[in-house]
Amino acid sequence: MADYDYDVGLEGEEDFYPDFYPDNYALSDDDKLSPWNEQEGLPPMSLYQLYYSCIYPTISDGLNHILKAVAWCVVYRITTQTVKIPQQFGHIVSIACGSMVMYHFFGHHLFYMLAQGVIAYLSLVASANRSKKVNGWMCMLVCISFLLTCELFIVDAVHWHMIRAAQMLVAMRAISIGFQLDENVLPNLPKPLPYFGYLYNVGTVSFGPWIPYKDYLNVEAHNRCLGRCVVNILKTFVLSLLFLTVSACFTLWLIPSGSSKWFLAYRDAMSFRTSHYFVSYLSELTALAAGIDTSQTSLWTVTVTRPWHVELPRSLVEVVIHWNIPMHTWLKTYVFRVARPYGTFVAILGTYGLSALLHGLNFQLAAVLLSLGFYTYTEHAIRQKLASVFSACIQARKCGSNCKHQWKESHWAVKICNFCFSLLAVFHLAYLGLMFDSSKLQEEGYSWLHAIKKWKWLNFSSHWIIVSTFAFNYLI
Amino acid sequence: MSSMRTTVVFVLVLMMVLPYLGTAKGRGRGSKWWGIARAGEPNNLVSNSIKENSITNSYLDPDVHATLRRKQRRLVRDHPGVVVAVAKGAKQAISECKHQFKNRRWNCPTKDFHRGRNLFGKIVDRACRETAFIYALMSAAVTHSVSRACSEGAIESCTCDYSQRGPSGADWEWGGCSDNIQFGVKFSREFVDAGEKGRDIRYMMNLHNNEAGRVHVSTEMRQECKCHGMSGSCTVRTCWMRLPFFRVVGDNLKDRFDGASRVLISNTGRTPGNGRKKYNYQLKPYNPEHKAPSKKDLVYYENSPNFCEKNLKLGIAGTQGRVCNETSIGVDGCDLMCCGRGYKTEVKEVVERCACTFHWCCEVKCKVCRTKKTIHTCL
Repeated sequence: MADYDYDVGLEGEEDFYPDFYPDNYALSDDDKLSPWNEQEGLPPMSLYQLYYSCIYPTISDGLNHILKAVAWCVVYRITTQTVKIPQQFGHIVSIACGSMVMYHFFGHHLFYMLAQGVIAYLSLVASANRSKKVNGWMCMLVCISFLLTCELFIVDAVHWHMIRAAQMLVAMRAISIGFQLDENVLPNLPKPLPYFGYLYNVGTVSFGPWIPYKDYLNVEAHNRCLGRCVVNILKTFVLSLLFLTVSACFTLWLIPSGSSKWFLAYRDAMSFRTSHYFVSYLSELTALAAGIDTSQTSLWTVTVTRPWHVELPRSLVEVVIHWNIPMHTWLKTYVFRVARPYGTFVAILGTYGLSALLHGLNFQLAAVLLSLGFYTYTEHAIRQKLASVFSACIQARKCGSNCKHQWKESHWAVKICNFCFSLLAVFHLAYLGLMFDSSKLQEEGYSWLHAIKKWKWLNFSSHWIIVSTFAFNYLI
Repeated sequence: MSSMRTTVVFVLVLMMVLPYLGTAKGRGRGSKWWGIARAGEPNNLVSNSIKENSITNSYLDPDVHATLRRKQRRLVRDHPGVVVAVAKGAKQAISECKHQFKNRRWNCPTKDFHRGRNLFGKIVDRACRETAFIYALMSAAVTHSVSRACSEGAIESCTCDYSQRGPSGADWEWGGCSDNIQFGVKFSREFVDAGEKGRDIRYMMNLHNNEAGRVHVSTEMRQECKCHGMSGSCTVRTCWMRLPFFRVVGDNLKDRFDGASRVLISNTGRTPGNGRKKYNYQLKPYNPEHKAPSKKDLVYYENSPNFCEKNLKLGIAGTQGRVCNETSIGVDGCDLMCCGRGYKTEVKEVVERCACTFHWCCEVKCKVCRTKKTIHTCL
């Protein structure tokens, strides 16, 4: 016994096994009837568990990124906007801080963003002295070719998916300069320093928003931050974190994996939307911290998105507008207005098509965007018709002050009608947004098979509805 | 007369001592703590041990106290809250074992009044595959349950694990509060292996299987991420680590059970003089052409009994009276399950819950259904 150091107790030794079956230790009822399939999705969690397993790590991860980005914005702001410094120096600081933020988010892939800026500038230089005003179109062609080349041949899927949004923003800025040259808003091509300072401005480089060139130049004209600015910065900070936790944790918690498929679709779409609000508020935050102010008044605001107009939308048209306001402005100014002479339908489809192209060869995004184009056109057309037939304020946009309809917005029937249209829009949104889920594919972009599979799962119901609406619109 | 009496006394003494001298000498006694699964309801544990623990640090539920060794008691005392997790883990392991083996001849039987190491019956005296599986599963369950309790903040002396951070600078890092697997593994090593002392082959087999259970938990850790960025791109990811569902661990261990390695009894024990002496050994395979067992493999060195007939010595009930599946050709099929003895067929009315629906949030409501079922039982 010397080798063994067991504290042997007599109660441990039972040589007596009277019977074995039936076994008393059955699984508890909860185990058998659990509505959640444990293999997929999270098991139900208490709030406390949710906090420890999801909210805390998500916020600490998020803060890590947010604070690094904001820190460089503050550095930029303090360096350039506290004392009067030469303009050239301001642009250099802008590029330097922007590169630091890019390096933090994209590592050495920031090279592609720099390359994009240089190539776009060369194209602008090449087309600047021509008599024909083709700067915008040339630049757009060059930028989109560069984007597609990178996506198809140079960068691998995962990393491209990481940088493509920022890459697209660089392209948008360069293209907007081209169009402004064409319209003589800018008298001549900006010098390289201000140009690159604008492209890689620390406040807008990683998450946007797109801002007009003049707003960037105005940054140096603003003096010190008012109390209002601090309040807005804090507000956007809190909102971005809030939407981050909603996106990563609360949607999964509120609607568990065993729910019906429409709830699940709504959940995935909502997770995607709230993630977008997080990024939008984060971009507002960085822009504000860098001293950018896009509002015409002295309110110190940069509005990127309006969540309530998207969550409880009047129509899909409103959703598209308030989803990303700077992007919408850009598309409206530089694509829609240019294409307007060829007809509204063509212009709308062209706008969405170009937006899809800018996002790269992403079947899923293209499918969603082109669908959205068709949806918004149909919705706009049928509501316009219905509004004039019933003389009621039920168009896709709110009736302006010079509303000539008999039944105004405040009438109960109009309210009910608009509410029904809202519900329809929510349904369409759940259907369209559902494919941006948290599956393995989220890191490399989703394949077309994934998109079709997801929609097939919902029997393409939303597409059928919109096609029948279109047919109905065509008939009346 | 007196010599007769002496003989009787001698025989009696011999009978009492023999069990300790035979081949089963001391086998598996390190698993006495398994009895913790029987120590009252979790609620009682909370009310008795945890609250008292935090005040006096000395009081333990008597049931728990009896099943633990000195070192284990100290561990439980040093980490308030851990005892609940261990008990939960042990229960989880039992139900997982039953799930994995429900269609086998040996279906992981346990009995309410079995205590300590006899929780699973006398089969653990034999160094067969089943024993290997039980050890690995119990150890895995403690690792799993303690790690989870850790990340939920239920154990005072451990918090979320923030040590796992990627290299800073690049975006592709993750952090935050992962289930604290390191604490779980370390605790399980101390706690589960506390009873394994000695230097024979059985001791090495137990240690190896315990470790295999832990490895199966720690290698199945999952990273869950969410992408954030404009229009569905992935500019920023937020991630956290999650423990695998215990079912996954059970499935993997069951696979290893089917492919368990038989090792040589003549394995001579540890190599002397090397740093971590307790785990420093290499088991040799029974068949020299086979590879040495890996960290994830289960090891055994005795054949399993066939579990067909009742065998009190081994604590086997036999498959008489077991329900079998007439159409299956697998182990749950009547041919194999009944070991060729044949089976009887009855039609029974079964009362069960059915048409269960989930009501938000969070309860399940069911109807009671009566259905007729054909049941085959082994003779």
